[in-house]
Amino acid sequence: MNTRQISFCYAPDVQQTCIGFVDDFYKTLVREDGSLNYGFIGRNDFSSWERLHYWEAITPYAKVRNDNQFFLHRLKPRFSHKDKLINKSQDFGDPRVALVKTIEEYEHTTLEWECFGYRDVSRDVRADVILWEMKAKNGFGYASSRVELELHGDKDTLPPVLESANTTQFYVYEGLRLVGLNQFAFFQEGDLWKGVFVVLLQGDIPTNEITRTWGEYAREQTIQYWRNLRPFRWEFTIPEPQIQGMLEACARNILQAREIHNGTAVYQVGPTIYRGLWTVDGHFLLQAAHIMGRQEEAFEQGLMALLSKLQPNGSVEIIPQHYKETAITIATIIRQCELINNDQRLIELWPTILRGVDYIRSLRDKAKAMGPEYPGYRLFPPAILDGGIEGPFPDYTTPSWILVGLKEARDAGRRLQLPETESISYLFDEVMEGFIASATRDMKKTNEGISYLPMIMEHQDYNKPQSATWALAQAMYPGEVFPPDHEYVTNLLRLLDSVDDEQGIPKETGWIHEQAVWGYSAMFYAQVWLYANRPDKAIDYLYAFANHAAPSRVWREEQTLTTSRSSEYCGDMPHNWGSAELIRLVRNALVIEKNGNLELFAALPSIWYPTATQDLVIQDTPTRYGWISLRLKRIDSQNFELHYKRKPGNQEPKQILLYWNGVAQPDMISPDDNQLTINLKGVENK
Amino acid sequence: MRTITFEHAPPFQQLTTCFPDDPHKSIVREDGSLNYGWHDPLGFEKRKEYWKHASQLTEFADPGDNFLVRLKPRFTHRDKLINTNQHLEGPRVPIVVQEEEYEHTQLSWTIASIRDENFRADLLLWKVTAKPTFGRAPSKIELCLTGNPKKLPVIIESKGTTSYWTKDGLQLPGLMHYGFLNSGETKEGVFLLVLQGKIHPEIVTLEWAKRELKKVRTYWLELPLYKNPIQIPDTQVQDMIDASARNILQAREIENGITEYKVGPTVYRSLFMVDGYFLLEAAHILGDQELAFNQGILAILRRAKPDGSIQIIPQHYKETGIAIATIVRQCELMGDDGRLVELWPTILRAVDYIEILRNEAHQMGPDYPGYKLFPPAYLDGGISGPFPDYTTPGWILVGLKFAKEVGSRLELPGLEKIRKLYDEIFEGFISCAQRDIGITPEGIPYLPMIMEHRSYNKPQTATWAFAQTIYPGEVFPQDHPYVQNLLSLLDSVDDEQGIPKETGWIHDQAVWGYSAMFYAQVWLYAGRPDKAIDYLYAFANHASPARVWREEQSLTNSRSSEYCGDMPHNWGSAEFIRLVRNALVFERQNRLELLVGLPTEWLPTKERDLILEKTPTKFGLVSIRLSIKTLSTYEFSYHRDPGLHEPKEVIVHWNNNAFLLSKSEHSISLELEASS
Repeated sequence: MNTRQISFCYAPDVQQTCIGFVDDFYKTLVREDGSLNYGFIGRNDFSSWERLHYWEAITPYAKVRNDNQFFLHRLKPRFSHKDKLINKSQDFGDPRVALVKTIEEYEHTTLEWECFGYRDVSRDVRADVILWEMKAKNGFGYASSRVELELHGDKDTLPPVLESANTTQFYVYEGLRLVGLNQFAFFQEGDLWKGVFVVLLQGDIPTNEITRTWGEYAREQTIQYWRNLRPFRWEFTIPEPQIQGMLEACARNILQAREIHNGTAVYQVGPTIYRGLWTVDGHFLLQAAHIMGRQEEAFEQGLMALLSKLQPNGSVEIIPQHYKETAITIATIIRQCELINNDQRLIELWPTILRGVDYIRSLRDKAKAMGPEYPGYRLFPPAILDGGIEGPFPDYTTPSWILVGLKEARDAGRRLQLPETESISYLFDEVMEGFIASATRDMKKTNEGISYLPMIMEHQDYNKPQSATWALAQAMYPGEVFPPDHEYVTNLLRLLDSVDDEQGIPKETGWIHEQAVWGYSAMFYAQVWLYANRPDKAIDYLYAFANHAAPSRVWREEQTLTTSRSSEYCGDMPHNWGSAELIRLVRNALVIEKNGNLELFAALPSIWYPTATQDLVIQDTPTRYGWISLRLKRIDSQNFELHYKRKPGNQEPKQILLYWNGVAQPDMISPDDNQLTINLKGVENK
Repeated sequence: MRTITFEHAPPFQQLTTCFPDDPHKSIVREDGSLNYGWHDPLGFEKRKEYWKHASQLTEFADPGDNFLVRLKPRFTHRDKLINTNQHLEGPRVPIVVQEEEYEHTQLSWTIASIRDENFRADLLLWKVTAKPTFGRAPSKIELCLTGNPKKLPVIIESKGTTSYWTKDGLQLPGLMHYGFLNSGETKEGVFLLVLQGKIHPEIVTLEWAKRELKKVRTYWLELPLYKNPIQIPDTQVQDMIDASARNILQAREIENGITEYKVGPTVYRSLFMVDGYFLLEAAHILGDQELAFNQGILAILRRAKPDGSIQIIPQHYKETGIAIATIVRQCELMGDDGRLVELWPTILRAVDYIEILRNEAHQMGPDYPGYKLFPPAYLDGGISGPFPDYTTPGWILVGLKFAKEVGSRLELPGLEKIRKLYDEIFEGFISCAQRDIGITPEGIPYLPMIMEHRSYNKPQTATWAFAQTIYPGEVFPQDHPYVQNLLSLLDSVDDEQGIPKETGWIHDQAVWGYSAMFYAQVWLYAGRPDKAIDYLYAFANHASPARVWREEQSLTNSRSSEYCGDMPHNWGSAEFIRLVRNALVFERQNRLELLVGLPTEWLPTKERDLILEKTPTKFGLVSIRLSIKTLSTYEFSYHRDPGLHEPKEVIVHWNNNAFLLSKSEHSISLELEASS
């Protein structure tokens, strides 16, 4: 078992923290150096020629880069006198609050500033505020100085930036102001200067209002906004404060990334390169929103956003040739209806699902038409894989998710006795057979003798055995296409176990194939560990994943190993699929749907046990078996009391398994029990 | 023992790699970045009454420090910087070597400007080595841009600089797939920044770049920085002279067919009147007499106005006085009375203009503090203005004195008017100064440079022109109280970094480095060569290791980061050369004085004689050589090609004694005893 301490010891080098509000158009990002960054210009056209054929785009002409990390503007406070930086740190305070404090300690000066969003709805004002303080230590002497903003980028396209009166002061009203010579007021030993900068993104604030007092008031308003927000509508309390802090920050970040498009609140992955909705990310983000108690928002608006991507041929393909997106959409529709307990909506959308199935069938036909020489003949045409391997290739990620979509559709169709269910079942079986046959052909062994299924059907040195196994993992859980003891599952877990020693999570699973981690991919794998009855590994991954976040509790999609010399990274930050996955894993550790059963406390680590003052609480968490509430109370050092409640859903679990002390207790809660209090003894949980 | 360690180098440094007379003034910063497109962000209207332009709309700090483009090499992998170091290949060779030491990597690059008939470019050769502990990482060397991408020059990189370790996967922001750098591996490459013309990218290989580097190194080593030998046995000083001479040529530029000696490559990329006086003199000392004389005078005459003034900066009235002095001095150094006679009408028109200024002041009435001198004027060098001041009459006295003396010698018309005007201004100066003289808290009398009290100004602020009035102006004799008082004042403020502080634009915790050279000339003039040489070495210690100066910079231990003016600032370079020359060959009160400021550090060694050949004076071209003869004696030889003036005396200073040479002997050799 790894140390379950969250110290952010594997935080990425380049860090971004969003200070925008919920559903905010302005996704202001604060970097690890305390700079505010605006106007992300990195494109997200992932299929562009330059991205795919980069090696052919080499010219003799050098391409220069700046340090803005693809932002048009970067603003960083600094002072204008001379001093030597000793230490730099950031403090993010209350995880519920999007406020970043940066502290720079110099030999003779301390400069600190807080950045936060501000808005005044009555005046249609949206701004970012930088509240700064500068102190001259003993031995400073004195120097002409001011606190100013260093601008990296084009001034003409930057919104107006205001400063509090007296930020720029002069010690004399004489002389010439030449370049380098500013006559700024003297800053003296023992002085404490305070001020505020305002980046006015929308609307207008009269300059005479911009004072330090106003800034402090704005700060209080913003803090109150965040503290009153309650990203989790219902109680979700883990007595372990590190995890609780992560949960609160994750939920807040998911809402910060969200944005209103054509009246619909779209759960977006991130604020920059992934400032959009993607099908697979959406599947999980919407589930996280349900867990956060935002079911109505997730269901109506999330589903609408997804359905808006439908094509006349029945497909959903946000990324061209990303064929599995259609199946993911089917699975999402069904899962959303399950979680909201709305069979009627599912029936209404059944024709949409059938059109999606028809499209999948047409893909099968295309593959067949390519002839038996084509390695994916029994599955699908060459497809974009995503998540580590591009393509198009004949692959296993496409059939993996298609199996999930078809399975979900088949099961829903059978339960509701919907038309053409059997043709779906037939297609599922055909794809499953094709998968097994092809996988049997393509199965390989690592140097350590571990069997693995490469995700494409042709050999490429570039790929690692674990590259792009994300979809296969999701086919196992939540897809449950293969049972927990299936050899594919055990092989995958052995493979992951062989590559997770360095930083506690599997390495080289994503786009960066060398000395890197795709942090939240570990959460997909953790779900598989949980599914395969290895909750200890799931929780190990959870903590290790948390340690890959920045101290602001947000993740970069992929980053290099901490001790490697490689500085590559990829994807967005905050990356909220990561946020969603942390929430999902914590929830599933406590309440998981598996094999037709409802399992409780399947992965409850002892450090999550309630304390004398803090219960473990999960209230009305949605499952296909209805809304589940648990409250675990500590009675004394050895005794606990569990309050269980279930509001029935549209399906009934076969069994309700309560895990305690690491052992399933099958008879403690019956599916017929809607409410129950149970006394539990012992704390020897593993 | 006096040493040059650059201990007071400014934190923000610039050097140039460009060629003499080059229109492309490539600047390399202390971090090894290449900088292009300097611009003044303030504009003239915001320089004066700047406080009125401050608003709550914030004025941003510019990370490019006013260059539109700043390009710095870096590697794309991750490592921790331990140390960085910059040096030039040599004082004569502006090839910059930058070395960065990281925990697991060494990165170095060499920058040189290159050209041929088809192009002018800056060459950057880089070398990266992965230490044994490196491991491996995808990496490439790239140029990091601070500034405006639209202003970039064409940049060619050598083949292989961008390479990939795979042809698979996606190239996403942050994910590059660059070729691996492995432990123990060294890679080299080239960036070529094409500033003018065209070059075929295929040519740009490492081998080609190394050949170009060799060519340009040879060019610089063979470039005659001075036409006649100047050899100082202290190689530290020799290196400073070599670098100063080179930098003066690098700042020079051809404008409308005239070669202009410019002060610097950025904010002072121009000819200024007073700077020009001294820069041209330095050019003569370096042996560029024909160019300095013919083109330098033309450049000044281009600034002549129909009203007789010769002026560049508005209300900088003394510029007309400086222009007169420059014309006279240039003709003297050139030994060309014909040109002086030809330009005499120009001088007379300038004198008329000065008289108009006097009348303007007079018309302002006796309540005006400058009533006896000039209208409110722009001072420069520490005080702006317009104020009734002493810098204006200071330099005007010099101009009139030079004109008076030459007019008298050549019996030129209008002389009486000049004499009368000179006497009137001199009397006005004395009379006003008596009224305005102040006393420092330490009890030192001083003349404030403006006639109204401003607590902003220090006693020594803007005394530059006053010092120049003393020397080379010689308006006041060396034992005059003004001279002695100024030197006492300077002595009271030179302890911190060896040169007087707070004499210039930055009034607090700062030095105007080369102003110390003006004061050193006064020390020399006043018979304190030890102080002059102390200032010379201390001034050198304010240069960056590339042996160039910023105009003004804050004190090394202060928290202030203010600076001002250009870098390289070649008035500084000129002053260094002038002071070394004058320490050895000095014109004072119609005397020619030799070795007056010779410090022991400059005594010849077995390997190096002290040599100054054909150095120009108003007494003609003077050559001296000091060499070791025996263990206890030196041989001193002197030769003079007569000039327009004959010195009253020729004096050799040796071991705190002065020997008179026969002024009729133009060549002489002496045996001098070594000091005990």
